[in-house]
Amino acid sequence: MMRLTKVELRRLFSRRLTTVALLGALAVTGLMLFGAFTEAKPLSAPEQAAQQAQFDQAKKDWAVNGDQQIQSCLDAQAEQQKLDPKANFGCNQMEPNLANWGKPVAKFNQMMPNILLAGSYLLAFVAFLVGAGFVAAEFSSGSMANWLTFEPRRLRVYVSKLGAAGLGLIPVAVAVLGLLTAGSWLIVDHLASTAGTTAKVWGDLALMGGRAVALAVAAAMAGAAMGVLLRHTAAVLGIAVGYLVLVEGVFGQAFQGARPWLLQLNFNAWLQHGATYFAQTCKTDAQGNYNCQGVEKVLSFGHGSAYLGLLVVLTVGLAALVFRRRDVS
Amino acid sequence: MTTPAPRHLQPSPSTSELAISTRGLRKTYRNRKGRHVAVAGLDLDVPLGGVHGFLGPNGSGKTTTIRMLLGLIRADAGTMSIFDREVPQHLPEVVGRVGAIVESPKFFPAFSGRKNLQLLAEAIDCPRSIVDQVLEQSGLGGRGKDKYKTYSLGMKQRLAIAATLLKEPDLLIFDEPTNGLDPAGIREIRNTMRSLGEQGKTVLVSSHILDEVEQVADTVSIIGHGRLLASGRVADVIGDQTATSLRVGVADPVTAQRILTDGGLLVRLDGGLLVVEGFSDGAEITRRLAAHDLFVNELIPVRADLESVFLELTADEGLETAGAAR
Repeated sequence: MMRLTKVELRRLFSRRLTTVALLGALAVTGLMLFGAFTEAKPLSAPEQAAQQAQFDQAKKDWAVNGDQQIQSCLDAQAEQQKLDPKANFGCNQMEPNLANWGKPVAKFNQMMPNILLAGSYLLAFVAFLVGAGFVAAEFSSGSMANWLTFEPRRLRVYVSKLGAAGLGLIPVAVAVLGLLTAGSWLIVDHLASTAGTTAKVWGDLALMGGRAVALAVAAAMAGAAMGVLLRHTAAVLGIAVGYLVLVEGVFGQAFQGARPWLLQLNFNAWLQHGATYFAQTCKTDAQGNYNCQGVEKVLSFGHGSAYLGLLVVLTVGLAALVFRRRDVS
Repeated sequence: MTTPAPRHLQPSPSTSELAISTRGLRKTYRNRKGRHVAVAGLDLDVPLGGVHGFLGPNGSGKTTTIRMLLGLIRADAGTMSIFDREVPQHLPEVVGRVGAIVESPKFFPAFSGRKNLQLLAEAIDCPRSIVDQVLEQSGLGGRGKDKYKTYSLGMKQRLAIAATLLKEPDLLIFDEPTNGLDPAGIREIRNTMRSLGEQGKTVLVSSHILDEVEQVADTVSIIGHGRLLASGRVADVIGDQTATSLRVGVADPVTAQRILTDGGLLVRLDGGLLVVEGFSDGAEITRRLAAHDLFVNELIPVRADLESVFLELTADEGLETAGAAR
């Protein structure tokens, strides 16, 4: 089994699609670091001067009209509180503050989870694509039949292919996430602030990175399993894009209550150790008014883990059954 | 339709003398248009050693049978064995002794010929040095570094043969190995098959080209509609099906026809020659005509070929034999 997996790993990294996908991932990683640079970069001296001038002007306006603006705000708040007693318009925070004018100083411990999240999406896509192409190409080229005349034990062949897809993506995922983390640290440390990056923050980031690597492995295996089921890379990608557009996009927006059962939110819940989302709650009050409110809800880490785990197990299991029984031409 | 019993023209060998044996093998394909019986209770015996032709028209079930033997598709019923081991259950035990090319060669197109073979060699734990050896053997030594997709059909076929040789197999299965090859490539493949057979290996070559089987095979099994029609030594199968005849040239064919017909032979005129049907003793013809001062100037024994055998065997089956025409 190990021998077969090693052969498959060699084949995986000899494939052009793998090379192209990895170069693509590297390019997108570079773009993400450029995004971090843009976010961390402080304002230039002319930009700061312009901001200061605007702030000074706002202070002057406040000195003249501030009381009136506060009163208007309080009136509007009182009106809203008739419908919603908890309504708070923040009328006591209206005075201009220089911190609100300038660009806030970027902090590594706040930026990095978002960068890791974006990196995880990238890795999951690349892993899925590489895994699907790796196996589907064998069916579409017909070389699977040739391979089986050398090793007819199908379950071994299947496990070696999925194993190679998953194992092969581990160093790639570690490298991409390491590059993102190191690059972001250097950028933010040079241009903004890394203060507050405590051992706990590093621990949380490491755990998130570990979950991102596990997700990439799962995506590669799921992609390979889909390659077995559909036998064409284009068909796998078509299904994946169709799902993202129709189910996650259209259906997910139309029926927000269904989002806990869609992939993306569970993806976030797994990576971020729980995820929040907004769902509309509508009801008719005592006066007969129909009101809708966005309510923040939490999808637990356990839900995300179970959902993704079950999805991968079902896909991989179904593909194994099909591959064991299907005629290979 | 009744199923005619296949004609076995030699005693049935014991199983230990067989490289391949199938009994009652069946495979039915189902699609939207309905069911198609590809193999309908095939009993096939391939003796150990030598070249065995597996002959039948296109669509007669040859490739399906080979795929079932190699575990690529599942049989609906029946049993199969290779080297006395039942397959596909025990295929892993014997697959190291079996090299196969099923239909056209299929490798990873973006990899070089050498890379393709290296991957296969590693999969079966062969030393990598054997790769260059089999590339040389199959005449691809100089093109091993080139991508497979740049190979001509002949080179692809040679690479496939090289792949089968990685295992140093005792049984080689070639499915329509000369399809699409030029005359030089065809001759090369035939020589390779003969040479392997002469080395004591068992070669099963499936073909719809009668001439090919006739040239390379020692024994033959003929199938049609997924059933065995005849099997045995090539010469016996031909001899059993169509009696040989003689074409005779004499100065006065009309008189000669009368003399031979009076002697109880079936004789017809074909142009300026006589055709004596069902009789192969040229010396007797010469003696009878010479007794009447008619001297033979041409005497050609006419041997039945596999094409006529096949047409005769399948005449009752209503099979499409166009594919068998050369």
